[in-house]
Amino acid sequence: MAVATVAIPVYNGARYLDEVLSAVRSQRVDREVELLVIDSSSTDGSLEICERYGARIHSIPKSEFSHGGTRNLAMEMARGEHVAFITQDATPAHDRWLAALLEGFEQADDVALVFGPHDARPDASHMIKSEMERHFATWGEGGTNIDVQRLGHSAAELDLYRRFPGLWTFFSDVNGCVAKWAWRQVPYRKVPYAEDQLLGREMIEAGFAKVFHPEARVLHSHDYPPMQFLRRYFDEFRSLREVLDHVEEASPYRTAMTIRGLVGHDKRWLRRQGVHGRALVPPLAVSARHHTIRQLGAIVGTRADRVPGPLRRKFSLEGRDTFVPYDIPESPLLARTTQDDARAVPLDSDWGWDFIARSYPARPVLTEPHSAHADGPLRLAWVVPPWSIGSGGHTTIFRLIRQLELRGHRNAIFLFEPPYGRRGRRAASLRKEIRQHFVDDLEAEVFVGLDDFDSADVAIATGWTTAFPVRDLPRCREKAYLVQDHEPEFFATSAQSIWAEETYRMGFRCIAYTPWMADVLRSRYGLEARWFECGSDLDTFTFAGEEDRQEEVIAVYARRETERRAVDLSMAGLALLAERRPTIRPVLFGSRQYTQLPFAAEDLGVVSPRRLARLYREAQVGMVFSLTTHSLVAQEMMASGLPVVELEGDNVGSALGSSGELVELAARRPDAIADAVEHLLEDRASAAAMARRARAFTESRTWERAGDQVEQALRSFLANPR
Amino acid sequence: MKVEAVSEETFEREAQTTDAATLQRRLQEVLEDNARLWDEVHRLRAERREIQYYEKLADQITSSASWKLTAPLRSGKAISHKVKGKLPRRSS
Repeated sequence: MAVATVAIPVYNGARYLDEVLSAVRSQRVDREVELLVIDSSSTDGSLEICERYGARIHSIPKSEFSHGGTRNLAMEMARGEHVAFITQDATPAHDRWLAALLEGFEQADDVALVFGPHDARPDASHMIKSEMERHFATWGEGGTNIDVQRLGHSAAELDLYRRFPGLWTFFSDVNGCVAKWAWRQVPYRKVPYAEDQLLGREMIEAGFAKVFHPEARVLHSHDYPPMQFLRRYFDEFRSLREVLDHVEEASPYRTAMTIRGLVGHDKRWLRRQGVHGRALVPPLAVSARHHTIRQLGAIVGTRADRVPGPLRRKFSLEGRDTFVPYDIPESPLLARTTQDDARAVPLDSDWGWDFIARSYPARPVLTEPHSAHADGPLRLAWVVPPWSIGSGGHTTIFRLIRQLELRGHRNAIFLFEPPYGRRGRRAASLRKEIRQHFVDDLEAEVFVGLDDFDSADVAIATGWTTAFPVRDLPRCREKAYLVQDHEPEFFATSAQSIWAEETYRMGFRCIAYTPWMADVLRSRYGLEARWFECGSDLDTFTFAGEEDRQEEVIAVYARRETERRAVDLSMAGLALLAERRPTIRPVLFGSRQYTQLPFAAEDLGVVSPRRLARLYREAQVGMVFSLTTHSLVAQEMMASGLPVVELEGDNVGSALGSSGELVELAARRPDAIADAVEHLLEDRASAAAMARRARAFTESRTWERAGDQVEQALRSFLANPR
Repeated sequence: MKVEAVSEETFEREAQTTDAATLQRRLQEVLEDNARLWDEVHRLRAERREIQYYEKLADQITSSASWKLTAPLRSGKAISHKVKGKLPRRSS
């Protein structure tokens, strides 16, 4: 038959021992109960009482006793695999107390400790009763249910643990049970006091579970006259300082507020017992005195190192005049710093890059097997990164969504915020923002985060950060990646460049902006890639001829925030040009950053498309530089009849022609740029002819065409399952 | 007999073609219904989020210190409305 041990350290405990042992012996439990007493040389007849109840007694000299060491001895001697500890004045409240403690271990395989509530003895004061009730109501939904506690490892859980460690670590061996397998790994510390708190902390931090069982109740409380309470609290808090280095906060305001709070608890408790009105005054006066004494004992006790030895002896109920700090290893989870000159880094439960950490080990794109049916309306889930008003990339996404809506497809937009997102954005206001600033007749619903994602025919990632969550979305027939640019190039050598490149290895089927981008995806990463080309808003960017243009005005896309626009290269070209032609009047736009230049220029900042259209109609030359996929700004200038200077390169040439018939192409050098702009300013006839060709080109690049290209790509992906 | 056999075959083929067309049409209807319901689900979820947003906002307001501080004013206003409501009845 299995054995359960009930272990009791005893020293002159005759007052309650008979009652306690009688209650232990009357336990109804399906195991043999071993009653083990470790006696520290009692002289009041305790041993005779223990013998009467058939206890196995082990005697030690009083000087050898320590709360932690003696309990380790009991654990070693116990025959049971579970050892229930009570004190000589803690009486099991009923005959199923031990069964309840043992039931705690059945809640999970990793339960190391089980503890139960202490009921104050009937003759205890109302302050003690109130405190006990309140304390044990912390667990198990007001102290009524079994509560299994484990320490979570997320930042939010660790932060909570650091702020309220006692919620997890509290364990009391006045009424608690220890599993031997766990104790073998984490024994009691040999400390004179707070051994149970240390055990609770170390067990929880070792990853074991702890259980509160509401039925494992004992009767246990101490009541003393006021001055004895002061001395007992002094002893208790001195030990807390010695063992746990706890220092009670002491400030007139804080201490007064603490006392007030404790009296308030007592008041509510008394009211629940039916005490009201004037009848409350006497007990609350006693409460106020008691809690003042408690705080005084706590404040002085935790500063006992500053109290002279003889005074310490006077204060102490034990008559101890020492102060011996114990060298307990600090909790690695609770310690703020290990270096005395370092500051603790705040825990962030919303860390922006958390989604990356959770995306590994790398997994292939998750899709559902399907029948290759690709007709009819499609259900499309677009996952987009946060935007700022005027963002070209988002303009393209939302216009494509609108085009797909017009073809009868159903769309939903999910904003994936990390790592840049502003917290707490409201989906309805984001939808309004899209309709106000991007596409006014967009119908798709907008959601913040992916909690509302259900399923889709195709889930579409639209930026490198979104590729990570889209990869793992469930219930999708297909996953596509709308790649508008080669994003790894947006970053210097960095974690971000590694992660952005990683998204091209996930196995997405891509829809690239421009044939050049599709070629990059195919040739560098071996991806299946189709492409689309953007349209221009021809209603806003209307064509203007030579007659209204102002001489020497140059519209310069100078978005400094976007390094791939090579703004400093365009400024260097303009600086050379200004030396040759001091009359040039560059008008910069697209940036919120201020700058200083060696030539006269003006800055429009970030303005609306309508204002830009006016500038494009009035300027003589436009400058837009693209080091990766070409900017939509170039197409809008072309639509407006503004001759454009762009940089040479496959990225631009494959989209806007490499012959120089549609745009003036300049080598990536300041002198070549100055030459190209000057050529357009000088030769207005050929500039005008180029502008007309460019306008015709943009008229063939419509959003309807782009919508068709994307729709065909999606249908083709579905028609050819992986 | 031969003629009969051919017409039977033709009939079967026609029936199969009709069945296929019907099934195709039915499939199309189901897919459209499916897409419409998907859209409806998203609309309802978006509305639910809106409701949750306003509920949270209302909770924040009613649990704020300023709301609690000004509670007597609102109670006073309610009482004065009640009193005013009773006064005309008394005079009439």
